Amino acid sequence: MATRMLYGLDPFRQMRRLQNEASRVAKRGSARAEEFPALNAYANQDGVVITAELPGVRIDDLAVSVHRDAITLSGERQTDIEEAKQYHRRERRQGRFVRTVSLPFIVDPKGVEAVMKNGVLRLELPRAEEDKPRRINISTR
Amino acid sequence: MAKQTRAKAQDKAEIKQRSDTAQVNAPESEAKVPVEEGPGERTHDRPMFIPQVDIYETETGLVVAADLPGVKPAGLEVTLDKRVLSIYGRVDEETLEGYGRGYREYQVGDFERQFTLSGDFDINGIKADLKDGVLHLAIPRAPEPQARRIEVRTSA
Repeated sequence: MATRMLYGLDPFRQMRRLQNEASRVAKRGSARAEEFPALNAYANQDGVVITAELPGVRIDDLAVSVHRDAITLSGERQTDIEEAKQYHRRERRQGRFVRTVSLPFIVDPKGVEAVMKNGVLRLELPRAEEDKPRRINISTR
Repeated sequence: MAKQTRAKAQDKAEIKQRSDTAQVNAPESEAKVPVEEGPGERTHDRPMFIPQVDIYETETGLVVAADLPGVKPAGLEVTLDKRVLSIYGRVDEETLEGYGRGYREYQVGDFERQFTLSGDFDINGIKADLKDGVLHLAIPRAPEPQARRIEVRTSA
């Protein structure tokens, strides 16, 4: 509880606790799947902004869900091209991905904003009002 | 010592990869691959990455699809000089007012990669399309030049 109260003073310290709870990438021909997508997070006292590079992922193929302090990104990337007769190189990954991260606070689901621009996803995750630290007035009776 | 030779071998592999389109050298890891340091230093201090690409043949030519997340059309430069195709994408990292950098799994930087094309291409017919952070470059093949038969005469 003490660390939770410190959040207001040092959000970064709490942000470093951002953990991966479950991550997996289903992709062809590779057993050792790494976390996908990679995430960056920026914090202040009112919430967090998470960014992820998802080039070629269509909005219709991407789902973001929020439950209390957990954010789940799931989607699919299609790189198959019908008109391709023969591939010289094939480096771009394709397949489904799911990644869940938990934040050090409860998210206000109504305030979440997700914007996809130039292949970069930006998620604004405001801290729920009831989760914010409250200043308690101390009185001398 | 052994380390040094290994590093050299890697350099060679890199050079080969640049100069040979047929060479497939896909990065194994999901992480972004930084561009190897060349002989000169870059003037601005930001990382540079090799974009992942698919290159395929179509009925009419060659298509290069490159992942360039964060690159806007204004920040994209595609050049074809002789047979060297260069792709450069500048990424402006957005600074978030009032936010501190909390946690980082990937670095933001520019993208650069070069390919040497084999065969004749119609330079004026190249079409570039940047959408959702993916560049699609359609490079049509040049029409087959009319074969000209050279008569060889033997002097009697």
